Order: sequence, then C-alpha cells, then structure tokens
Amino acid sequence: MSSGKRPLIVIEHLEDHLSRWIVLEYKHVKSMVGSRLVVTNAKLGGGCEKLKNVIGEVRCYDEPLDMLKGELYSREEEILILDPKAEKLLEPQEISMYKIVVVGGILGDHPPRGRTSKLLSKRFPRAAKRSLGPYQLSIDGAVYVYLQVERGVKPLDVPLVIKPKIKFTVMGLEYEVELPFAYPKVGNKPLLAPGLIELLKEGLAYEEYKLVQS
Amino acid sequence: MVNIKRYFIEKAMVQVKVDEYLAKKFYRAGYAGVQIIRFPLGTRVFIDAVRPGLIIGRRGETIRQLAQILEKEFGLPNPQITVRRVENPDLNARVVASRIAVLLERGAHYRRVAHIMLRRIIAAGAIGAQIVISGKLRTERARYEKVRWGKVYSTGHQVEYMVDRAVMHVVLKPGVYGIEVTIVKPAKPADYVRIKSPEEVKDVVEQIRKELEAARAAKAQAVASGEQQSSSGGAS
Repeated sequence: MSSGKRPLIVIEHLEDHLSRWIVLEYKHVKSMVGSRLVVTNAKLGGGCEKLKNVIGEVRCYDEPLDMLKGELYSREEEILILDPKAEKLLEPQEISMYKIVVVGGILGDHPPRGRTSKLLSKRFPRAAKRSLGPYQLSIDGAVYVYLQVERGVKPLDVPLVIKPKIKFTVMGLEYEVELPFAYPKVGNKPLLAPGLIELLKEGLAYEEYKLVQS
Repeated sequence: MVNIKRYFIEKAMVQVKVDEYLAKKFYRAGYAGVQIIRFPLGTRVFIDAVRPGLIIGRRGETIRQLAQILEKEFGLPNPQITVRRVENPDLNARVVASRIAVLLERGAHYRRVAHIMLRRIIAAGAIGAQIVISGKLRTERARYEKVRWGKVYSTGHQVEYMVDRAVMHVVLKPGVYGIEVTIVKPAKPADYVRIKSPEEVKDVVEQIRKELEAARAAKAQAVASGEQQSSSGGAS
C-alpha cells in the first residue's frame, strides 16, 4: 500500500478537558503516525491553539467530525470507527476502503462504560465500526494495534500485556499501580506513552487539569 | 419446631444490616464495629468507635434516636446501646479506611494520605499493611494504586486471626474512589519457626547428653559381660 493512500488517523477529542495523561497519549500517537494525525472536536478540550501549544504542530479542528464532511471525508461510508463494542474485528484487507480511521479521545473507565459507542459510533450510523479485540486499549495502544493491522497482522495476533503493573518507590515505600487496560507488548514490556511512568510516579493531583488549562 | 438454620441466618442478617447502617452513618466518628447480644429482657448493642462522643450526641440525643431506629427499623427488642472506645485505632482496618475517606473528602492528595496512614499503621506495631486506592477521576484513566509494607498474608489459617480488611467508597466531586485497607496485626503466624539460642536449650542438651552417655555405658557393659561369658564357656 502506498503511503499516499493510507487513511488519516483522526482522534475525536471527547473529554471535556485536556489533562496531562491524554496529552501524553496524543503525543505518542503523533510520534507514531506523524502528519497523518488529525485531531477533531478540540473545542471541548480548550481549542486547537491550546492543543498545539502542548503537543506541537498538528492538523487540528475545533469542530466535531460531523461538521467536517467535505474536508476530511465525502461520504460517511469512508469512515472507519475503532470501537471496542463493535461486533466485527478489523481485517487487514478492508483498510484500503476507508479514507479516515477514527479513534475516540477518551480516558477509559474500569469497567468500561462504552463511551466510544455512545459518543462516537451512534453519530455515524453508516460508518464502519470495527473492534481491535476483546480488551480495552489506550488511545495510543489502539493506534499502534491499528498500524500493525495496516501491515497485514490480524488484531488478535498483536501481542498485548493485560493489566500491566508498574512498580516504583516513593519516600521509601513501594507503590504498585495497576492499569486495568491492555497495552501492546513491545520488547517484552507494555508500550506506554513516554512520560507516563513519570506522571504516575508524581501522582496525579486533584483537579490537576487546571494546570494544563492555565 | 424452630428452623435452626433460618434462625441463625436471620440473626446474622440483622447484624450485617445494622453494621452497614452504622458504618454509613458514623464513619466520621471512626466506627469500627458492632456486637449484638440478645438477652431475655432485651438486646445489648456494643458499638466500637474512635470518637464515641459523636455517636452518643449532646446529652445522649443521638444514641436515643439510634435506639429507636434499631428497635423500629431492624426489629431489635429493647436495645441497650453501649459505645466503647477502640483501643488501638491504627490497627483497625475500618477506622483507617474511614480516616482515609474523610481526608480525601477534605481534598487531601490520595498518595500523601496513603503514605501517612501506612506510617501510622507501622508505628502501631503491625506486621504488615496494604492500602489500595482505586478509581477514576475525570482527568485520569481508571487505575489501582497499591502501597504495601511488611508481610501481608492473603491465604492460610493466620488470615482468620491476624488480618483485618475493610473496603470503603468515597464520592468526590470529580469521581469515585475505592479504598481497601488490609492490616496484619501483631500475632504469631501459623508457620512461625524460631531457632532457639544455645543458652535457652542448655538443660535439654544436658539431658540428652546424659541419656546418650547412659545408653553407651549400658551397651559397653552388655558387650563386656557377653565377652566374659564366652571366655568362661571356652575354658570349660
């Protein structure tokens, strides 16, 4: 597949803020896909200008994806939504049919609330919805698995680390943070966004998103 | 005939319901547990708490209301309530969990709270302790954060008499936190083995030595008498 024909990776921002955690995941996606990344609905997180300040130069739209018809896609059928609740698994052969691949910009719950389905899939009834397997993935993890599928690997064949545990010592006491999601396994380790372990070590302050807002 | 199983199940159900009710209502008072004993003339209810004053209320107002609730809502006949102060609150998992909940409600940082409470448990003489704070705030992904110190037993007979565990939920403005506290109290575990010092076992060693010497002497005597018999037999 030539690089020109590969679909754009669209992150539809669906959280009402822009926290440090989500910014790290967006940055990681940007490092993986480069100029193919498009962020939409940025207004919900404070606007494109703020997003560009924190993650660097990126193609960004304040408007939600519905209002970008003609700009990013011409027909709804050209959209592929990566939704963990979708019935069908993504197949490597079908990727060339789509113009954009949409990932929900959501920080997941445990157990999952199915927000991608409620906030994204239902808005595009004619778009294709595909799952990447039975586990809930992070935003960057989902993009990584998608990129593997683009290379011809089936989603279930991508090795994952389920519920990774991160250990570190703070002031002489051993802490263990368990993330109840799946992360791609690369080099026998979970592929976490760079800086995430440091962020977890720091401890996330109460209402810390205000720091990002300022 | 009274159905014995049903009788005990109903009794235990009342205990659980009362316990849940008190835990929800008096967690700010450091509620630690309840004991319900039935007598022919009524029921004695012992409530353990860190701050009994909050349960008793001004001039016993709260406790009187509580007695009415226990009688009407939970069907306890003529309840006589006694509030007892918890002796060592830092070794009581429920008290620690409720303290963490109160501190989190006041807006304290969860990791600082876990750290302080763990240090207090250690200072109270626990063998081990574990605090798990889980949940999701708006700005984060859901996660479980565990801090552990010392030995934390999760299986075996010792769990029954050494480990105290409590779970509590706290609703904060940006989300819900779950708190799980496990405290291993200072006691002798089932698999405890200690090698005694030579001074401690001096008497036993001496006794064994004497027994061995006596056995050796008896054996030597038996050998000597056998030889004597065989030599006298050969001469005849």
